[in-house]
Amino acid sequence: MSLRDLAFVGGLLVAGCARKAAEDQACFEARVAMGARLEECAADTEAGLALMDALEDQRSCQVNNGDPRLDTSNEDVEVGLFECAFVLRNLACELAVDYGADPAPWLASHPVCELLWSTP
Amino acid sequence: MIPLLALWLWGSTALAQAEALAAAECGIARPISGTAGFANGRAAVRTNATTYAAGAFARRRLRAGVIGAIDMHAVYGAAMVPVYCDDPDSNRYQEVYLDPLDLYATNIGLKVPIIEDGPANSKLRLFYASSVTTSTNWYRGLTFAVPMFNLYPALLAPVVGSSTTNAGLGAYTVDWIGGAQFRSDVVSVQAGYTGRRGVYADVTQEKVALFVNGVVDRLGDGLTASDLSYWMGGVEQLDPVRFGANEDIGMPSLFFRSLPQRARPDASAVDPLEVPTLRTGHARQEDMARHFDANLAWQFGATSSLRELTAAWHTPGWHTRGDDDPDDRGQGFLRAGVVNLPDQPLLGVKGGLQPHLRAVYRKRNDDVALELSAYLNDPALLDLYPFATNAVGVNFEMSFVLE
Repeated sequence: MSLRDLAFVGGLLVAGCARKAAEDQACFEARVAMGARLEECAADTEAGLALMDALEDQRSCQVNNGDPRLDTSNEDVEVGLFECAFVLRNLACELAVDYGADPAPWLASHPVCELLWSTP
Repeated sequence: MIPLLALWLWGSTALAQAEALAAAECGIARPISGTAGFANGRAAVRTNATTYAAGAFARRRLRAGVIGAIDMHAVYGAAMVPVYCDDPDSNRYQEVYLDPLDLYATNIGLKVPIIEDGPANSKLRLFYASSVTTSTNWYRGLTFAVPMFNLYPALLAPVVGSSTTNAGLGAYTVDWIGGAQFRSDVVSVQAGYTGRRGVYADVTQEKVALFVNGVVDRLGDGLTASDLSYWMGGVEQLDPVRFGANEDIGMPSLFFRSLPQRARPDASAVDPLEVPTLRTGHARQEDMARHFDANLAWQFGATSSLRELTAAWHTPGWHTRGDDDPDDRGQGFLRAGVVNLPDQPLLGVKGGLQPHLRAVYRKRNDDVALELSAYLNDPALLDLYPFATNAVGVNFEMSFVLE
């Protein structure tokens, strides 16, 4: 079996298997959740993308920045950080449309969101 | 070589399952709602029910010459879902990790001849088709045989009734369709009514290989474009031999397809989002020199781009042409290429070129044809599940041949 064959088999073994979440997974999920919710509620894909871009331009992910509340090596903390995505993905549509592409009111929806994404 | 390769792919997926089982021994894995993986998983479950719905199965598999069919499908890792392990006995206790969502489907179909020798070689047959689709994100070792167990409810779908049970990422959907198929030298028509209150129709002119088909997935007071769950039409496998040309140039296909890509919008939306559709044009040249296929697909719309570029090698007789007798020897098919996905940030998906591989082994005699296939990043699968990159699929298809 050649190296190429081995690489192929290796790829299949990895495909679709459980794996550890990325360190900044909670930030990623919060960002996608707000964009997807705005798109869904406002019927505006561009607005959803603009919101995601604005978040990345104006804020940065604070996971593992030294604050014990954002220490993902503590499992209780890690799962709690996903509350932000849950809240944003289920935000009332009236609020989502009202907040539009400005990340600040979105992040103010839950204390974890404000912790996760703050100004650099 | 091809049977070995198909078995190798099949075996690799089994190894993948064993590896997944060992790596994710968590008896209580709780999917985290609100995440992109969870949302994609919900969409995958709904898409699975549509893709392998009875109507789609009848159109695709109960074609000319097939009197009955049994299919079993599995897609491993259709979505990667963040989960929290709440099992104190697990080595992953309190850990957040990405767990694959697996989809299964079982289909059964049969045809009953009513008229066999009508004018212009016409035939009229009634048909029945059913589907059972399920999804799980736990213990593949235990759920591996699910498609086989679902043969029973698939057989008895009209008694069980069309139903959907959906909790979190677990779903169980039963669907069936009854209809009629008319074939003649002039035109072939297949139409049916589904147990989920929808209709589908397929019209084909076999001489020039023209076809159009579509599915209306719900019937209400009025019919709108959004009720048409999908449609496609064009020329498929036009055999130049019928027009006196050399068979080695192969059979061209050129068709258009419109396919919805997401579930219907949130009912509470202030201004409901129109269901986005994937519109693609497909050009194919199949059975060149009786050995080679080439496929190209182009995606239309805002992210217009090359969608698929693949080439395939197969044993001669893989495509049955004209008055060919089906080849009783084992046959193989191997396809490789790339699928190009646009970035979809709102699904949490990064686009780019994805490598594609597909291996198929087929064996048939005068009465039965068996087909076993395994694939990675199949273009048709990624059309339906744009987030399912690196998903591995395995299909088992058995056809009973009448003519």
